[in-house]
Amino acid sequence: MGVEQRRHPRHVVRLSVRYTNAAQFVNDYVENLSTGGLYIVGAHLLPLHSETEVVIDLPGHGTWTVRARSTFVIGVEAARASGRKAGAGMEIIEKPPGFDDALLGYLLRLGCRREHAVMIDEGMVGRSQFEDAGYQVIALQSEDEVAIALADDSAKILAIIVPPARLDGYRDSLGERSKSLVFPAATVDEIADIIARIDSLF
Amino acid sequence: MKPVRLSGVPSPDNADVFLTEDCARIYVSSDGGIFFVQQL
Repeated sequence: MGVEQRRHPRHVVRLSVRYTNAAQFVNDYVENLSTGGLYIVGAHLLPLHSETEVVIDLPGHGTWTVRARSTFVIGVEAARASGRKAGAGMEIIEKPPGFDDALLGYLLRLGCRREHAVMIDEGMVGRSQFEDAGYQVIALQSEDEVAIALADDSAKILAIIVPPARLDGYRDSLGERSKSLVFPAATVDEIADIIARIDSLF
Repeated sequence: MKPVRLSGVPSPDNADVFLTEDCARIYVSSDGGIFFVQQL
């Protein structure tokens, strides 16, 4: 940090929040969002009572800009002592129409995900993306075992992610049903597309 | 509207249970490890 910056601390004027982990959002909803608050990790340098714009990205439910005021700050030392992450608690003082509905819509979508499962091997790219999105994740089974698992409707399996090299084996074993269930995936972008596709089934 | 904490509702891993104004039931563990949302 330069001398000029120390003399005139640069205030953060625009913060962004993106919920990439379903459990993180649900916790924040219960503790803060539902009462018009936010806790922003890493914003502990924000002066108390300062106002700032916060851009909140709800994946699949839009990007929202709210105006918020810092009401408490947990610094690095206090965070360490209390087992939390340093950051600032904010009170939302202005929010656009539809924001509350979007929050609840996102919460309910996460609930729908939680009721469904995705089958994917432990070592495969994308496993953590499904976990973070809130889906139940179960290990990829053999072609025959997958057919048995699908016969159990209570499993609610929405997608079976297989390495591209094994796609034909699963498609042969599962027949017509495989077209809507079995996806080859090797990249993070492909996983994101699959999540968007199976989300549209709710 | 803050979700109302419910007591006496069975939950996995002793998760806390909340009910939103829109009747969604939220199960959330103290460490954030599990959650479950159920639209009633």
